[in-house]
Order: sequence, then C-alpha cells, then structure tokens
Amino acid sequence: MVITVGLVGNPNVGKTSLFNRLVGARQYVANWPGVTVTRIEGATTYKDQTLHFIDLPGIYTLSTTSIDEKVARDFLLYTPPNVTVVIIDSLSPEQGIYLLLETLELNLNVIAVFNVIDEAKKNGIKIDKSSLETHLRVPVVLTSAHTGEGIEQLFETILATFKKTNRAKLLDYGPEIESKVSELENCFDDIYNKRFLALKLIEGDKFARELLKKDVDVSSILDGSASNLAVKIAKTRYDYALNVLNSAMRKNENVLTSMEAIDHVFTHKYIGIPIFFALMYLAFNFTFKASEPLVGLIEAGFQKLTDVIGSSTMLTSLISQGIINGVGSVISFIPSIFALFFALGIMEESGYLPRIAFLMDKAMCSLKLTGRSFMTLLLGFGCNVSSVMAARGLSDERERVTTILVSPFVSCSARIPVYLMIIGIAFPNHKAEAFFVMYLLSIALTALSARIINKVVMKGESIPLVMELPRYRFPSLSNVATYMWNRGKHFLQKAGTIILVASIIVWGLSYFPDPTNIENSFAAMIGKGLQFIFAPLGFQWQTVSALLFGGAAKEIIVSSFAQFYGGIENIVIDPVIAATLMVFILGYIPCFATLAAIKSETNSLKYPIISVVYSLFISYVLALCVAVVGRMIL
Amino acid sequence: MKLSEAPTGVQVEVLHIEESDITPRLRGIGILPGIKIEVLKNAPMGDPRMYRVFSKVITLRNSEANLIEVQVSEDSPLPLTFVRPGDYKVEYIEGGKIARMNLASIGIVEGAVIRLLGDRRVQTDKGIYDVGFGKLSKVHVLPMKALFKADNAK
Amino acid sequence: MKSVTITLWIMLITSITIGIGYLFEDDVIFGIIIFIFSTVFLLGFRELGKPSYSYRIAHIYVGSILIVMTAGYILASFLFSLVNLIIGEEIMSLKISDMLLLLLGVYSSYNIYRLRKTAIRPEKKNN
Ligand SMILES: Nc1nc2c(ncn2[C@@H]2O[C@H](COP(=O)(O)OP(=O)(O)O)[C@@H](O)[C@H]2O)c(=O)[nH]1
Ligand SMILES: [Mg+2]
Repeated sequence: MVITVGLVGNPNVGKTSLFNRLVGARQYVANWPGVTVTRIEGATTYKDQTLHFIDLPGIYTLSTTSIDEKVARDFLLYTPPNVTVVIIDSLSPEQGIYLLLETLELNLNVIAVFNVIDEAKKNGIKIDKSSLETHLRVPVVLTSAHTGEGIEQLFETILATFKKTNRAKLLDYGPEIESKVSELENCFDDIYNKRFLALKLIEGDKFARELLKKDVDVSSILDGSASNLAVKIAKTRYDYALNVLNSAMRKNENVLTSMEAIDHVFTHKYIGIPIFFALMYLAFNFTFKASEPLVGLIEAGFQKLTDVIGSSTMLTSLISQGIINGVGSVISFIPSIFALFFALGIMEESGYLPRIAFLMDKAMCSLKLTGRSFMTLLLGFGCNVSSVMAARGLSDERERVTTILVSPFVSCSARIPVYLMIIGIAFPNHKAEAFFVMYLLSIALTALSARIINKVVMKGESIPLVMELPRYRFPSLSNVATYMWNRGKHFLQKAGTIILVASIIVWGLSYFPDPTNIENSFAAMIGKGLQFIFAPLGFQWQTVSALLFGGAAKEIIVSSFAQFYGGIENIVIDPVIAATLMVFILGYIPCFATLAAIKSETNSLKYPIISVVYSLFISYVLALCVAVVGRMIL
Repeated sequence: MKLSEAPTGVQVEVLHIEESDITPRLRGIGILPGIKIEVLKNAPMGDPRMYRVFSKVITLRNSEANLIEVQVSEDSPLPLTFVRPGDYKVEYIEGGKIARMNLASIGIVEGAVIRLLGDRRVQTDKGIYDVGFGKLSKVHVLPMKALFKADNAK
Repeated sequence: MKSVTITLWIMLITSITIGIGYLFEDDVIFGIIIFIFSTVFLLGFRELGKPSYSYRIAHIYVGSILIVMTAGYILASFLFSLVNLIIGEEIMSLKISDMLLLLLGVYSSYNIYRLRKTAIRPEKKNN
C-alpha cells in the first residue's frame, strides 16, 4: 500500500527542506521564492507503510498565473494525493492559512504544518496547537526542518489522517455567494470537484472557465458582480485566518526589526548596488584564488600519472592521453567550480539574492525583464540548464522565453575550466582581473541580448513583479555544503560520462591515422578544413577542432586542447588571440544539455535553432571586434 | 491616493483594487480592501518598493501599486507635506544631524506640537516660519485629534 | 548610543586605513572594495532615524558582516594556499594590510556577536 503525500505551501516556507528531511533526499534548497519549479518525488517507509512524497512549487493561491503555479494546482486537482500537507510559515502564517482554506475546498485529507518553529520560538512567538486544531478542523503539526523537531509526529499524523474518512467542513461564504456557487456547480461535470471550480470561476480564474460543460452559458449567473464577489470570497478567508490566529497565536509585534535593519543597509539608496558588485567581485575572486592551489595539486597529480604510464603503445596512449590527460584536465578544475558554488550558496541561503532583484529591477525594467528574471539568470552562473528550468517561475510568457534565450550567455561554471586554462597560459600576471572581466562581459552580453531579443524576436510590455522577500538567515555551513555538493556533483558526473566519451573520441581522432605526428591526424584535417572560417580571428587548427568538439559541452575544449598539445603546459597562445578566443567561447552555442532544456521548456524547435544561430553570430562579431582592436593596440 | 504614492514609513489601508491579471495573486498575498499595508522603502530609483502585508515583506513595481487605491491609516504618522492644515504633534524626524539642528532652531523637535497654516507655513512655539518642501517632508506628524482619540481609548 | 558612535568611528577609520594600505600595495580593486564597505560605516553617521530603532546599529552590524566576509576570503585563500606546500610551490604571503584586515575581521565578529546578543533582536515595543 502506497500513501501519496503532497507538500504544498507558500514559496520559501521550507517545503523542500521538509521534503529532504522526510525522505532523506538532498534536493536544492535556497532562501528565495521560486526555487522549486517542478514537482519532485521521493519515497520512504515508515512503520511498514510506503510513503510517497511529492514536493510542489510554492504558491499563494490555487488560482494560477504562472507555469509553476499550474504544476501545483493541476497536481492537486487531477491526481489528488492521499494526504495533502499544507506547510505554513510560523512567522508569517496569514497567507499560509489562506492557502490552507483554499486547499480545504478541494475536499482532501489535509494536515496543516507550521514550519520554522525554531525561529518562531527564538522570536518569542507562541503557537497554541490545540486551538489551531479546533478552529481549522484539521490536524496541526509544528515542525522545524532544521532541527528535526516534529518530523516524527508528522509521520504519525500522516498515517492517522490517511485512515480518516470524515473531512473537514468548509468555509461558509454567506448566502449571496453560496447561492451563486450552487447554481454554478451544475455547470461542471461530476468528475471534477464542482464547488472548488465554481468558486474559482467566481474568482475569475480562466482555467475554470475552460472546464465548464459544453454549451452552458454562465454569463447570466456571473453578471457584473463577479469581481465584487471575488473580493468577498478572499476577504472571508482572510477574516477567518486572522480570527484563528488571533486566538491561537501570540505574536511579538516587532518580529522583523532586525531584518529591517539589515535590509536598510543592503538595499540602501546609495550603497546597495556598490555593495552588490563588491560582493560579486569577492565571490568570483574567491572562486579563483581559493581553488588555485588545489587545481595545481590535482593537475600535478595527473601529470605524474601520465608520465608514469607513458604513451608508447596504442593502449597506453589511450589511457594516458585520452582518458587521464583528457578527463583529468577537466577534473582538475573542479575545485574552482565547487568554490563558486560555495560563494553562490552563501548568497542564496542568506536571502540576499532577492534583494539584488529588488535593487536591479529598475535596470532590468529597461531591458523589459524583471528583477525576478535577474535572479533566475544569476543561477546560470552555476549551470545554464538550471536557469532555463528556473525560468518557469516567471509568470509572463514573453519574459520567460527571453530569459531562456539569454540564459546561455551567462557564463556558467563549465566555462571556468576553459577560462582558467587560457588565462593561465596567456595572462599569467593578471589572472584575477582577466577572470572578473570575463564575468562582466558575460553580464553585458546577456543584457545586450535581452535587449535585442526583446526588440526583434518578441515585442511586448513590461511585466509585473510581485515577489516576496524572505527573512535573512545566517547560512549554516551544512546547508551551504549541501548546496555546493548538490550543484557541483553534476560536473563530476559529466566528467565520468560525456567528457569521458568525448575525450576518447578526440583521442581517436588525434591518434589515427598517424600516431607519430598529430599534424596528420583526423582532428587536424577537420580543424584545417574549417580554419578558413576562423582565419579573421587568427585561430589555429587546434582551436578550431577544440571549439567544434566543445559544442557538446564546454569542458571538452580543455580536454581537446590538452590532447592536441600533449598537456596544458605545452600550449602557447598570444594574448590577443587568447582574448578573442575567450570572448568567442563566452557566447558561442549553448551546450547540448542547455539546448535540450531550451527545447523542452519552450516546446518547440524554433527557439533552440534561434539560440544557436544568434549566439554563433553575436560571438563571432564580438570576437572579431576584440581581434581587430587587440591587434591595433598591440 | 494610489499605493505607489504613499510615502515610506506610513501605514495605509487598502480601499479598492483595480482588476487585472495579477489580482488573484495580490489577493492571495493578502492585498484586499480593508487590509493594512506598511510602506517600507524604495529601491534606488524609487521603483519598485517594499511593502509589508501582515508579516511578509513583498515588492511591487509602481505600475502594479498604481492599481491599488489606499488611504493613510489614522494612527500612522505622515510627512508634513502630506497633511491638511491643522494642529499636529511631531512624531519623528527623518534625516541627519544638520537637518535636525535646523529644524530644532525653529522649534520643530520630536514631541513638539505645531500648527500647519493654510498658506503652508508652520507655526511653532518660537514663531511662524516658511519651511522648505524638502525639510517639511522629513517631519512626520500625527494629527492632534487622533492622539486625543487614542488617549481616550486607553 | 555613545558606544555605538565610537564603534562606528573605529570601524570607519580602520577600514579606510586598510583600504589605503591596499592601494599602496598595488591591489587597487581590493582597496576600492574595502572603501565601498567603509562607506557603510560612513553613512551610518547620517542615521538619526526613527527613535524606536537606531539604524546606526544596523550599519555597524552589516558593515561588520561585510568585513568578516572579506577577512574570511583572505583567510580562506591563505589556508588553501598551504596546499602549495605539497607540490613545493610558494604559499601566499600575507601583507601588512592583509594582517590588519584579519585583525579587523576578528573585531568585527566580536561586534556581530555582541549586537546579536543585545541590539539586533526582536525587541519589545518600548513603552
Ligand atoms: N530556521 C529554519 N529555516 C528553515 C526551516 N525550513 C526551511 N528553512 C530555510 O528556509 C529557506 C527556504 O527553504 P526551502 O525548503 O527552499 O523552501 P521552499 O521554497 O518552500 O521549498 C531555506 O533557506 C531553508 O534553509 C526551518 O524549519 N527552520
Ligand atoms: Mg522548494
């Protein structure tokens, strides 16, 4: 017997944290709204029962305006779980109870969970559980995903609720609305939850309109008063929520003062934005500096290993050149990637990220984007696939597509190895500066592209920004470590799969047909054949081939270079070509994984193709500018 | 008054919301007629702004805040530039030392009772003064009537 | 209130000194970053805001957090550079400004600790 349990709640109340606690998973948790955009499932057993948990995106209401909200609503409506756990933030429970009341209308087995109870206690908030239970008529559990308090009890309650058959009584909206509801209920098929749909119809939800029986006309029932009634419905729910809280909760008036104080400086009129850039610089410098020695160490280790094995026979060459040199050259940069995620982890876990969105919103507005999409794009510094996915949280379709299309220009961590390799070779004395410049350039290119795409591909208005700012939290080391591991391990997996395969292919292409001289290899032939395209940029055949293979995943560029030159230390590139190359790599085609994500998220082939064509074009033009200007200066 | 026009630091009560695509979400967050909202602060260019609805802090762009019609709650201090002529008590003064000293020299200090005249001049214990707009906007006051009511309630 | 002002002065002057130190050591960008953080303390003097809560404390608090992060960054870079010993390369040499920054970092963490204990806390309305 499997019990399905759905976790719903406002954004950022700790649904995913709780999910991780419940099933022992390590899903991505961060302190900003909109982290989870698809449903995530996981199972565990408790007292011989299999519990199947589903973590859903955060929502405020079951009326929907964006895709992630739709995911949550459709799940509850079409595949109702055996038990629905509504998670409420103990420090700001009003909105949570509103959602709970809405969920109750779906006639499900509901448990109300008041999470973050640890912080509530610290803030001197007292919650009277039994009073909540009497007023809400559902079981209430107080939990903390951080300390683990109440988790056991939640399991017990799930088992108990699952067996229960009598459901909680619904809210009464008063005669006027109730009579409308019962009239409207007849307009829906029996397979749906009619009361819920009728209420949603009054609230003006478009999807409820689509589920109406064919050939019924509701305009006579829903005359001009609908919007008034919608307000009344919401008001009834909120009044109820406030009454419940009044009797069940003792609040400390000034709970948020410390947060206000911190916000006062971080979002300061004058210094808010400078602080942000200073922190970004520190973050990228940290990525670079802290990891440099480790990178050196691993590199040296792999170097030793290749030397020991040698490359006299085909097999040893495959192992030492193809596998160890090819994959190793990428793996040695993994500490940098982890360091970047460490810095990003602190930024996300502390709750600073949404403040940046707040600060930058005006600037983003001129690009016809919102601060929300700025946040989404920042995720792309980790991996472009995640920012393409996270764009689901954006309610406006045009903004979503624009964000998806410009995501690849955000310099993802897969590009770090490439930059570090080239910078190490060509700019040994200005490593940190060159590295930071690449990131600035990436931001500029992203902004420029957003502008162009908004002008050319899609045209539209500016979009609303309704965003919750979470509380600040001191990021705990374990949370940041989990975050770092979660997002970084992806690169280890890649190293063992796509990069390994690609390295072996590249090895094959450079080993055959003439193992003694790489200039006669297939790789060289391909490179030389295409070299004419890149002649204006001054690339050699090695670069051309590496770029070609690197189309699949950017790290392969490093691995190819390492193999073509027989090790990174043998490469020579002059600074102008190096700069040209880095600029070209910054933009040129998204990796396969990103393209696949773009295709699946936009559900059309058009956008991946636009993305490839546009990015090749723009990066070629930019690289050409760099090459020309560079040659003039030097 | 529109929500986007409400000065920072005051508490407003929502009167009416114009229907739009995001109304359901606003309702879900708790922005409804009759609900009190606190205006917290502006972003660097004055847009978007931070508001507190119940215990959650949310940001709205002015284009959305324009859809929300509000009125200032009675017991919320307002900048002197926002009030009608009448008797007021100075609740607090925003701004630096110099501004405070200047204001103090004409008798505007926290806790003082002042009268705003019809021609926008200010009458204090020390006399009648013509105060600049910028300085006036830093002085947050409560009407004497409201104070009287609050005292009675206690 | 007096101790708050004094702390602000201490933080402002030391951080500016360190910033200048970095400029002299040819680490211009890092110097600028320290200057940006010291403006947090500088602007703290402008705050005389609401009587119920002093934003000056907020400036000290956040400024201290920023300094601790910067110092932590120096410390982490230094610690990681110890790895270089294994492959026989040089470790990062701490310059005078680095040392000062680390010291200021220690003082700032004390500030944070102290403020978290006393001021930065959900306080009851003072009636
Ligand atoms: N102190 C505390 N923090 C929590 C708790 N649950 C979640 N958090 C934090 O709240 C933030 C949001 O959590 P997340 O699980 O991503 O929320 P979701 O958006 O609802 O999935 C993260 O920073 C978590 O570390 C809790 O019980 N106590
Ligand atoms: Mg989540």
